Amino acid sequence: MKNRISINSEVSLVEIIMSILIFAIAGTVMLNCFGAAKFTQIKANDKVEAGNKVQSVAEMIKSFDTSIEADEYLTEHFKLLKTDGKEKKYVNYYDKYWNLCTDGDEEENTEYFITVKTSDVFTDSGELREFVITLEKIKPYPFISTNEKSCNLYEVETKKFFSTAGR
Amino acid sequence: MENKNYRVSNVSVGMGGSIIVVILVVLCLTVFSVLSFSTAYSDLKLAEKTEEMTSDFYKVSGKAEEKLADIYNVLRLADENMKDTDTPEVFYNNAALRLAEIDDVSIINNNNGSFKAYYETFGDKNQKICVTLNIMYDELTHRPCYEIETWNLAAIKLPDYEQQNIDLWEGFD
Repeated sequence: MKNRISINSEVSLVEIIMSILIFAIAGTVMLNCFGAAKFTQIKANDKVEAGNKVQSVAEMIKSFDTSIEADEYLTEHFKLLKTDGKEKKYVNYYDKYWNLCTDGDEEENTEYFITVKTSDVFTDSGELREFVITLEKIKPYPFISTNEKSCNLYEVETKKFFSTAGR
Repeated sequence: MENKNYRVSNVSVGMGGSIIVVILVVLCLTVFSVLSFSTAYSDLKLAEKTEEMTSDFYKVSGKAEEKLADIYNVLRLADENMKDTDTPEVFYNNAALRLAEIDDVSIINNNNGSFKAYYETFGDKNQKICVTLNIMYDELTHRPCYEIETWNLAAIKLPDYEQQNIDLWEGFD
């Protein structure tokens, strides 16, 4: 023998349809809001991580006494993408966990990339070099990015004077 | 045959009850979604602010390096104009005169005839870099050289704390 409780409901079909309609309309708006919140937070976290990477490279470059040391560091830790006269462009690729991509899995796993552009300003009494360090995300963030091919996360521009005299 | 015993409850959802429940759920979810978005947005704003400050710092640092290059260029020119018989004092006098022509570079004379050069470079985000250089002349190699004595990051305008002092015992008027 089973005891069952029957609720005396007076819910009409129209009311149920109305409820579903309200929930569907509000749901689409809320889903967008939750999506935007999620990817905004991811972008904020990425910006912090990108800042660490970019500043780390900038501080390394600033710490060198000669341009040869700087060149050695860049050639050792980055891939030379192109050389155009006095301009050089180095690049490094990272996966979604910010691990450095190895040669084989660059195309599949690359999520972010850092570029270091160096150019000589003048070389009268030593070398004054300009460095532009940029960190970008390959795919734009859903919900928050509009019509962008890639997303620029962090950019730093600085100069360094490598003199022939001591510092 | 199974004997079914139905108990009819007096609880009734009633007309419009389901809509009220749906509206309440939607309201709660909306509040949560707005709260989560505002938290994420404030995090993003903070990260962007940090980026602006960092970017400005490296720009100011670049300007300071550029001025350092200008100064060293002037020192080299002063050195090139020297004769073999000239003493380091001639170099110091010549270099100090030339450096005074560069904007925002001030000269501080030392007791031994050598001097220091001081300059500041300014950023857009209330930060500046103050540099003091010790200018020397190497008599062995007959070349000018410098030593960076200070390379400090400082705020351009400090907040005026005096005006914000509130006497807790007196309270507000």
